[in-house]
Amino acid sequence: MSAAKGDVLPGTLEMLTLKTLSLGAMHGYGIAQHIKRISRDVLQVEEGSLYPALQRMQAKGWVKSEWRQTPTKRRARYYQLTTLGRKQLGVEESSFSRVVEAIGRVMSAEEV
Amino acid sequence: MTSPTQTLTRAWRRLRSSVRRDAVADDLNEEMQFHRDLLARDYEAQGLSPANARAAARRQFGNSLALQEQAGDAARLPLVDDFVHDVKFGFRLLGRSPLFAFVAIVAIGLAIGINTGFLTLVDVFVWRPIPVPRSSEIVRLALTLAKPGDGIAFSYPQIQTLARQSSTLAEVFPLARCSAVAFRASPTQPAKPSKPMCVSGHYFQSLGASASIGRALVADDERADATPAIVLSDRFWTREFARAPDIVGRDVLVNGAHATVVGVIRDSFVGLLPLTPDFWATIPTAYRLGATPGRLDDETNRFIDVRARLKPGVTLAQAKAELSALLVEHDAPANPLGDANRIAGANVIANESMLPMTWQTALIVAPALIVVVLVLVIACANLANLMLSRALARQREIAVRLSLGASRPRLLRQLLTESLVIALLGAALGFLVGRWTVLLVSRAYFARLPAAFGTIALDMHPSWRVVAYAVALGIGSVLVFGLAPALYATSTDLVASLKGDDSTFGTRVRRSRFRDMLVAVQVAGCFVLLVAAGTLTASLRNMGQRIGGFRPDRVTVAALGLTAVGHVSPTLEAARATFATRASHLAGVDASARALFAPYGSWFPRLSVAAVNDESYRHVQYNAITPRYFDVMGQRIVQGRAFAADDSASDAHIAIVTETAARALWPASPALGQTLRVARANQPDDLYRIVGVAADAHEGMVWDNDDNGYVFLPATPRDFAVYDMPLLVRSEGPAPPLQRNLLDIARQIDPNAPLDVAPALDGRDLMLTPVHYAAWITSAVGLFGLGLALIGLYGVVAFAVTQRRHEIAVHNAMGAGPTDVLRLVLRRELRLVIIGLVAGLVMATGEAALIQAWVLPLTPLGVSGFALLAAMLLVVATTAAVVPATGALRVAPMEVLRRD
Repeated sequence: MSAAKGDVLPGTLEMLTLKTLSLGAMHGYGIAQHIKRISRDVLQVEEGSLYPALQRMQAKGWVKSEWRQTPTKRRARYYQLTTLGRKQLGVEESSFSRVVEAIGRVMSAEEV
Repeated sequence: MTSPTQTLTRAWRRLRSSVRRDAVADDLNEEMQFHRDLLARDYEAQGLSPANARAAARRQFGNSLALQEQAGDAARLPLVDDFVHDVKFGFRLLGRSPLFAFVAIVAIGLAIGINTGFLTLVDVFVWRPIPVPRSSEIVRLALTLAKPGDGIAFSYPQIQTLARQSSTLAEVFPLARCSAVAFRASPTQPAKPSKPMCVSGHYFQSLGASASIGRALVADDERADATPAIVLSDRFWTREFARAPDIVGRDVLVNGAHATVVGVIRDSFVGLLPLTPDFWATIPTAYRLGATPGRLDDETNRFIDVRARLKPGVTLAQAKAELSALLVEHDAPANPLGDANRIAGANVIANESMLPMTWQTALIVAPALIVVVLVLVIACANLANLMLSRALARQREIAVRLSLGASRPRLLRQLLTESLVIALLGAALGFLVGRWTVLLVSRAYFARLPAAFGTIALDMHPSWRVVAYAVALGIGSVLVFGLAPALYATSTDLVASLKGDDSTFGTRVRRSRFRDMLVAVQVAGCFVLLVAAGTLTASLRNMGQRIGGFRPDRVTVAALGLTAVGHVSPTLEAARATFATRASHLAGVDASARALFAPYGSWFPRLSVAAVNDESYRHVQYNAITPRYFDVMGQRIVQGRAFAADDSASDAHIAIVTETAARALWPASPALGQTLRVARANQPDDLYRIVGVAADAHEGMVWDNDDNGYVFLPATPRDFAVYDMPLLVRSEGPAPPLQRNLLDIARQIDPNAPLDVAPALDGRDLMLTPVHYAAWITSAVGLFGLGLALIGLYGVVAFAVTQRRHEIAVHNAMGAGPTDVLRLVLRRELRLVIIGLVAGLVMATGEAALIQAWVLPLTPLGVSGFALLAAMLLVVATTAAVVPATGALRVAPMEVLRRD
């Protein structure tokens, strides 16, 4: 869990998962792989956090799940975004960009 | 931001996960396995051996069990989770001690069953709205007179006035009290008694009922020139016509007159009364068929009960004011019945259920409610006792769990959940018990009712209210029987319990007052129930013996033809006379007579009578009879003579009184030869000379008040012309052949007139059936409760003896004899029993007084009865206490003392 192979920033796992699922239904492994691939291996999703997070989001009604066949004919639980989850994604995205912007401003500020 | 619905759905999802805990775990497991497999595949693709790849995948994935817990927790509610766990644990515990489970569930089940059964009846009759559209607008009307008394029925002209002129009533529903009629499905078939209901033409239309074939009655059927039309009930159509499809238009004979069947009403229709008749007719039709008493245009002929629909927005008070004014205005200027009988107005009473919840209803319901709740209290007290014993037996387990860090609330919750499992299983059992009891008892009872009563139309199945009640009782009883033992069990001294030293435990824990109280409550409750059972049984015996000075067991009552008062045709009157004569010549008939009222057949009316020079009138019951009545009934003439044949014919003004009536009317002198004044409405008093005094006997309904005795008058020609005057036959031979012979004669004489023939005691037995049921149920429940109380008492004493083993051993070692020790042990236990008995005595007396005053004139049990029951309880309780106490005496003192 070195910083170079960065963990997901605390509090952003749910947002990343929601974003990933907004592209279509996916199983847990797929979500982890997607985040890893898109972030060019920078973001590593801890499986230990992913599944509790998925359960949490399901309990909150942001995602729903169902068992389906994978293309390789195995049974896997696919997660899918709900309307509520889509709304939540919007909320998280905007608050995240506000935070990033704020951090950027702090970091780029000249010494007074 | 979260709306209530979101919160709810979220809670539901978690709840579902909690309940489906295993399924959720399996899902997670499979999901993670899938993930690990794919990771392993990735590693293999990178060149690792399959085994190494799997190991690497597992490493990367981490501890799957812990993960599963974590993920699972996120999905569930811990409280519910605990609950589900506790419920499973509770079931396991019950499974481990099946005897306890059985006793507990059956005890609470029977108690709840009796309660739900009772509530079903209350629900059906008192709470459930009558099954007609907009039932809340339906009211009940009653005519009130200037003299005080309950409301009475209306006359037909009054109904017409109300229907035409009232501005507060939307509809008037007259329900005439009409008698059973002789019904012949065709001229070739024998007449059978059947029950009509006499209504208005718009009855069906207004109540939303329709015919399954043909049509219902309509307003035109009420016209005087209409063809007499009747509509059949579904059951009657099935019974008498085998559901013949060509029933519409069929010509039938009712009391020998022609009527046309115009339709069959759907079976689902109940209407305003709880009984379904065989057929319906309008009141004018019923009058022409001879089913209503007297004349229709007679203002004083009041035989019609009335329900009405209020116009929207009209209050009961407004309707009462308007109707009263209308009725008073239409009262005849000079009421022939005297000023006391002048019309004062109308009562308008809400009629939302079959039996409106008035204070009279409440007074009938209350004593029964007390009994059924008492049963539940006994069962709960008993269960509390059992639970306490179990809790004490599990003391060490509980202590271990407390010391391992379980919190007290958590343990309490667990113990209560176990109680809840018992209670809810009990409630389920109770619901079934109550349901079946009500269905079976009501079916058995209504099956015994003669056809002339109609059949019960109400649905006796329990409603959701009863289900809710059963569940509420279950949960409520948990609080009663589960909470205290649970509190008690979790407040123990850890060290003492863990050491497992009973004697240390004994010195620390004072004797439980709670347990003492439980025993007293159980004894008191059982005592009340047994007293109630005893009272009912004694009353039944007494009512059975209330026959007094005659022997009605060999008497058969035969009523030929069915007519309403005042509708005896000359043909029928002649037929009845012929029937009586021929019956008297039958082989095996010892004597026969005719009377206005068959004993036990109906409520006896009363006459206001007085001694000739006495101003105050007394109400005595009376009967009009033919000469051999006393021979038939086996009633002795004490003084003077019975009536002779020409007394009847000549309308001689003579009378016979019973001994009680004689004493009441002429306390100082012999009654024979005295003159009796009989008050007549609207006429000067009639005078009768007393020619005989008969032995006392009870001839009316079993609980008729006949304290003033009876007066017998000779039957007059008018009696035969107006009333049924049933035939009473005394025969020492067996009843069935006699009944067959009577039926044969009747058929030969008049095929239009059905013969109603039954033993004279049948009517009494029918009246007593509900009391029999009540007595059986109370006895059974009382004995069951007693059994439970004895188990409880035994447990308490056994427990107390264990606690006092040390003390007993010391006493023993010091040289106290077994009797001294027994006395020491028993003194305390018997005190509890006696406290319970005294409390029970107080309650039982109160309950008996309540029933006595408002429901039935029961025979009080009497001091000897109370004493007998108390002695019985004491003996049994002493035995229950002595057995464990003697056990303690057998323990060697040294063994006990050495343990300290």
